[in-house]
Amino acid sequence: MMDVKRIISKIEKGYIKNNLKKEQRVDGRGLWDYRDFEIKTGIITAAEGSCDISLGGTRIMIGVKYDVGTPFPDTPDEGVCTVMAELLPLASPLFERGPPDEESIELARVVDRGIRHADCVQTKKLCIQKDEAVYIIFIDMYVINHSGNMIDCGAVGSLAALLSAKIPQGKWTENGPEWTGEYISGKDIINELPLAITFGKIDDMLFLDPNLAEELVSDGRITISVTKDQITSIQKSGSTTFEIDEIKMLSKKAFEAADKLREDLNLWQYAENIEEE
Amino acid sequence: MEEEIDEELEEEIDEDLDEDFEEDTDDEEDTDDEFEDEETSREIVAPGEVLSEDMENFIPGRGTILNKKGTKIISVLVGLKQIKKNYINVIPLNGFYTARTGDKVIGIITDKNPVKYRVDINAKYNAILKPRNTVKRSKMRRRGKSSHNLNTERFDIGDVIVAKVISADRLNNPELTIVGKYLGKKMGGIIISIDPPKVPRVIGRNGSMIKMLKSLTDCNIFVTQNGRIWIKGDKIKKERLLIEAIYKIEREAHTRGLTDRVEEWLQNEKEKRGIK
Repeated sequence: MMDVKRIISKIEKGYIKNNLKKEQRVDGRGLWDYRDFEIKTGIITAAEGSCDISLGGTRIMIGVKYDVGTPFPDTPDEGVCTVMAELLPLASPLFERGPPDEESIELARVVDRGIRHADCVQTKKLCIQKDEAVYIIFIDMYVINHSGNMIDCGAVGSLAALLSAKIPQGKWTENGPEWTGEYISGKDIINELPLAITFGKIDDMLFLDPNLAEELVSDGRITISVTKDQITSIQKSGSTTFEIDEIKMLSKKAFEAADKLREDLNLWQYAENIEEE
Repeated sequence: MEEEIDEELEEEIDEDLDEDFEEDTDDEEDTDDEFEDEETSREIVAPGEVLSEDMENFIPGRGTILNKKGTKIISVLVGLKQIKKNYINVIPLNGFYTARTGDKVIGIITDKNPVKYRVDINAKYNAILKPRNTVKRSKMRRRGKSSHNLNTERFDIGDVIVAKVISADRLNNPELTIVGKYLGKKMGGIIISIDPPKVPRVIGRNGSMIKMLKSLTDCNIFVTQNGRIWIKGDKIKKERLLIEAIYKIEREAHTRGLTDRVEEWLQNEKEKRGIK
């Protein structure tokens, strides 16, 4: 909506703050509303699973690829799932080329933590042979357009991409892993759906799903990843501070928002084998 | 002695400028609606397309070049072909803003030092605002009584100003002034930006579109040539409606009969959203 430059003008700051005080957002939402999600899966044929997701103006392309490798010594019978994010310079004038910066590492880590610490990816089922071969799943996020709140967008998109994934099933033989001719997908890969819910804070005002202008003005944000009944990770960034009461209130709000999102998006519809079940 | 002469000269020049501004009675620039012009054909041309080989009657205008031998007029832009008197112009469909002398622009101060301010005016290069072009003129100073106490306006990084381009060429960064009518710092409101070539469309022929927008949404609007629009209304609902209307105009800039369509759309939306 607004001009995006490194320097945000004073009157824009004032405009956003004044309207937030009246519980109004610049794009006409309520304080606890999300922008609209749009999800398309199966867009990249070369990838096992893929997703093109947009949240308002923010757009991310996500691909899922797999590899067969040796497991970590402390978890010999568990597969691995890692998340990577890249902020393309095409997405925003704020992004530069070069090695990943703080923001892209944060995006990847927060999405990764949300998924890792929930009972989401079924790592035990991704084992082909104990101590020998497991699946390593890579989730790659490419930000195509940046219009605020990449974390929530990426978290939902990663789940959609994982759900739509179809990974060739392997069995262990003397010569190493071999394809059985079947695929693993849907419930075999994913059980729970953890969602990242981000809140912004400007002065004392808290709100859900900051857009880019609000993100640039805000003092900081907090991301709470929740499953149906537990919090899996919390990440705070920026210079702001939160009181304990605020965190408690936001946790409740996060559960409410996540329940609503799960209902609205109905992510299981993107699962590959949903018809068979 | 020299200083005095300089000052006198400067004052003379500035007085000339002041007169110019006074003629400008309306808020918005008087720009013809190029898209709606009768001389503008609906013909869309591409870069490299030969516009005319008739060199006796036509002269290459904006957005065009001559070939090496000087026998053909060729377009350099994607846009609409326009013939005005004996000039052939190409009105670009979208593109960057290029500063031209006399344009009013909305800029954001991005850097400051004792000698000059750097201003982002949505162009390829940052503009420069020197303190001597921010002098507030008072009657006291004109009589020369307080000439040592210069009353310059101070800005901070992030301030929004409306300024006039006083010099712009291809070699140097454009230079701005804020001395004049309607110029200076803006307080409150919100700025949105659109594609600079579509600015004439938001203003409309003789300001018809902008008058309609103002009367239907009760907002103050200030449109400048660099594609930035300053808006201030009493209610956020009205401001949001206006912003959506402006983006609608930008999207449908190349179509005919836009003013009537936008008016109808605005009235429908006002009823739908319950705005009085």
